[in-house]
Amino acid sequence: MSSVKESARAAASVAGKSGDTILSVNDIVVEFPRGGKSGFRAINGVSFDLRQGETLGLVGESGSGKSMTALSLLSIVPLPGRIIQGSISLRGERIDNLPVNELRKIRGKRIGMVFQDPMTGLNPVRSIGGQLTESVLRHQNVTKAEAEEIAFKALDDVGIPSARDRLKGYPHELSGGLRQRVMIALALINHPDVIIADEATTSLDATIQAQILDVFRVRLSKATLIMITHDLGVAAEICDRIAVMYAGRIVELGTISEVLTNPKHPYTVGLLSAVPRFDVRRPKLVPIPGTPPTAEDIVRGCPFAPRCRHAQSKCEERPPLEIVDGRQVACWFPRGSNAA
Amino acid sequence: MTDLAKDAKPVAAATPPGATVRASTAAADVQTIPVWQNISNVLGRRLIELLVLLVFVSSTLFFLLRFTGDPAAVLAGETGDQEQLELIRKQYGLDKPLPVQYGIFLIKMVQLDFGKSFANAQDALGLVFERLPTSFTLVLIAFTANLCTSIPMGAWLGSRPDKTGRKLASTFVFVAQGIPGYITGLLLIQLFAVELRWLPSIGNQGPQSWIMPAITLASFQAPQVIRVISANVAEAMREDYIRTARANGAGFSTLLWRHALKNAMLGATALIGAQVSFLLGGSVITEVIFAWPGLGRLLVTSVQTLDFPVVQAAVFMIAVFVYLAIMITDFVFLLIDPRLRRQRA
Amino acid sequence: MTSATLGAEKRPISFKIPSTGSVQLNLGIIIFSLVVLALLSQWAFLTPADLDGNLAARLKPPGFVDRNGVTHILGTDQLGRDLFFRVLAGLPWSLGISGVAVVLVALIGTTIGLIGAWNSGIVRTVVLLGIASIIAMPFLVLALVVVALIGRGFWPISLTMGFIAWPAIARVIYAESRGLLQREYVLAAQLFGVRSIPILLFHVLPGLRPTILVMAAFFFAVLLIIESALSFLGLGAPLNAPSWGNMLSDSRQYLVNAPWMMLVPAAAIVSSVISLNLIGDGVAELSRRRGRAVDV
Repeated sequence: MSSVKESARAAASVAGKSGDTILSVNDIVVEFPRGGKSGFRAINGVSFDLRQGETLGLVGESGSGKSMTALSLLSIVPLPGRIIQGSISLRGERIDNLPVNELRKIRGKRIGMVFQDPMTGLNPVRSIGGQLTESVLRHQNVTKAEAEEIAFKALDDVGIPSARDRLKGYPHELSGGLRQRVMIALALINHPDVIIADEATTSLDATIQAQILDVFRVRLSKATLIMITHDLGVAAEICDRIAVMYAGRIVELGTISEVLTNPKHPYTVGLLSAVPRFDVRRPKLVPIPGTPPTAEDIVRGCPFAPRCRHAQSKCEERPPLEIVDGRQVACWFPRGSNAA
Repeated sequence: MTDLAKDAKPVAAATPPGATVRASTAAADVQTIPVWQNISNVLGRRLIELLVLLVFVSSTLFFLLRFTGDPAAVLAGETGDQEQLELIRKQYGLDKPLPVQYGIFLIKMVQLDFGKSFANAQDALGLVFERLPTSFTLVLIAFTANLCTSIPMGAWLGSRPDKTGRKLASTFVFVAQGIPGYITGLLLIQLFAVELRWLPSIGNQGPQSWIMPAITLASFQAPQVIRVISANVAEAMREDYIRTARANGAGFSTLLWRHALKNAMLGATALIGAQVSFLLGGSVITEVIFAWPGLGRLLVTSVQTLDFPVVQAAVFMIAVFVYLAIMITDFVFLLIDPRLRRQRA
Repeated sequence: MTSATLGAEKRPISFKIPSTGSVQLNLGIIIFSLVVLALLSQWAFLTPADLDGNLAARLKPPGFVDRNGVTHILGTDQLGRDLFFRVLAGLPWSLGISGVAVVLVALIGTTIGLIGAWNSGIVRTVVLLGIASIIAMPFLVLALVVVALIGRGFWPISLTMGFIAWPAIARVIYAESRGLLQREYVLAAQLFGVRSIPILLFHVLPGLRPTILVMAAFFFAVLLIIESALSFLGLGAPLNAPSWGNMLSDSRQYLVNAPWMMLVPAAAIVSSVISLNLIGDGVAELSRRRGRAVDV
């Protein structure tokens, strides 16, 4: 564990939980209308708080609503999807119901976002410098020359060599790892309050992945970060807390060590049993039976119940996210305290 | 269960942060092909194509003329008797063996000597050059009008293709695509010259008489260009880089004009390069409809009167003209598209 | 979605007309069928006398009833010929010429495109060079010049158009079949020792079918326009033939007195072209949709 992270974590615990909450997401629902029928809820009541300087991991399998949560924070949910319920507050101000031109002042300025695929995420026919300065000029009151200097510093900061030459270059001249650094520079360039990294390392080679994770760990150690990933290893490496998502809901939210060593929700338990381990001799990986609900399925009650060994009749009601042993769990029958 | 958080650490810690930076740059340091080499490659290929086209077209004409009938009879006209035919054969070298005739023909073409017009004994190429500026201006106006309306229109339709108003407009464009240019021309004449009497219907009588021919000519291809650009824009607006720009606060107009349109245009390179060819084809019929004294009408007249030196010269000029336009488009797109401009292996 | 419809979507591409599922395609087929039905009906109703002129009834507007009590639904032309019958009689000229030409274009274009894609080296270079250079020349100019030399009439025009218009199709077929030739099933066939022609005919050609259909529909429309343009210029169908282009050409002198002379053949051309474009769009849309299901 890096010492930077440790001190940040210590500071966070000193400040206390309710201390400096930066981003507060309260029971948001994102719905995609389907002609006639009730809409499909890609996110169904997600709530969490993000504190100054912490890294929150959003983990879950694909389709669980991780990316949709990220997009909804910026109100860029793809059409015809819409946030139909809940609230999002940034430093105490509501940002989910702002008019579009106010929202634009938040996107890229107060919340920065790094997307998954660096190969397609940058405009192929515009120079890297052009794409960076466009964002700077939009959000900061600077001259063009100053904006270029800011862009240069941003590239230099994320470890891009000969950054000044790169400004004139185009995305196709860079490798995947360098492009992802450009994407990170773009997200950081206006010093946002919150950075969201949506599967930022997923599409990269393993070695490049490690390098990009380093960028997050070392250069973004003090940043307030939401790290979306389906890779528990990545989450374990750089997150302070993680939220496990399933079928558009958060099923368990707690500090990384609590959740990973002592999972309470049966889904988290299952997820961890399916991770290969090299330190413990285990007869075999245990898959979770069944598949997650699809857009076609109508879910009442606990969405995990059909796949859960411990499901009982009570699970036909929707379980609230409640505090159990210092973390939040959405389960009527959380797994017993086997921490000791 | 042991702490998963802990056993993931050593993997990443093994790579020191500083060392990671250099490793990933290697992939980008590939040799750059200079700009001029790219350009000369493309333009060189176009010149070869032009040469092939010229030889192909003129040879087709040469042999068709000799195999489908007696060119001397054509020259002599209906009054020519046997003696006259012999004279003409001698005069035009038609008495020589075919390969020799072909050789002479090719050599003369290289010297840009297409002979004299049968109709008025003027130099054929000179006649063509006389008409060229009129046609050139007409094509240029139509080309500009076409792109200046098609590109914004295509961008507008493609940016939000699902909106009702744009669906209607798209349908209108689809129908317009089904209306051949010469029908548009006749409809315009009917409306503006016959019914409303706003514009002169035929001939070149000052700026007013440019309006209808230009619109007619532009209408040959505009719907096609609009449809292609709108489809390309619609596709570009779904790309990841649009989402990135949006996440950085870009407004709709920035997304469309600064991010999507350039990509959409680069996808329509071939179509835009071919516009001049289409327009020259269209100008033939437009010039006939509006009795316009241009190259197209000269071609039709000389085809109708079987004035072959002029036909040869006109076809030659049109081919050269088309290839000039194609090469200019190539050049422009080489300058615009960074992927072509600084190509790395 | 029921399992039955899912199964239908995964079927390999086949173009069963009755269940197309594409609005455009259906609409296009309906309009085009109407046009062709009209064509067929002329043999039932049309007599040579219907095409004769009646100088007493020149340039009469649509709905005109002549002395014999015959109603001229779409009016008459400068020689007193009934425009409705004349448009009908023009169908075999206009649609026939472009129909023959489009078959020829599809055949030549596909063959040459396949040759270019299959061979490498000098053959491919020659094919690509030929395609690129001929495609650059305005089609109407080439057709005009060749037709002037070999003469007017049904066959000269359709053959000329067929032999000139193929490069556009050949280029698309070339690109598509280059892609198809890299598919694993083609490689597998090659490894099994299947020879080149069976590979092209049985492994590549079926994959090209939607493309050929789409291109053929669009080219039918384009060639119809060109044919009418040639006739309009007086270099297409014989001067007295009731080709739509000829009718348009005739109408030019009477725009002031008898605009219907222009509007009637114009409507015939436009509706044919639009219905063919609709069919082309519909087939393209369908193959895109099914393409996703069967990964063609």
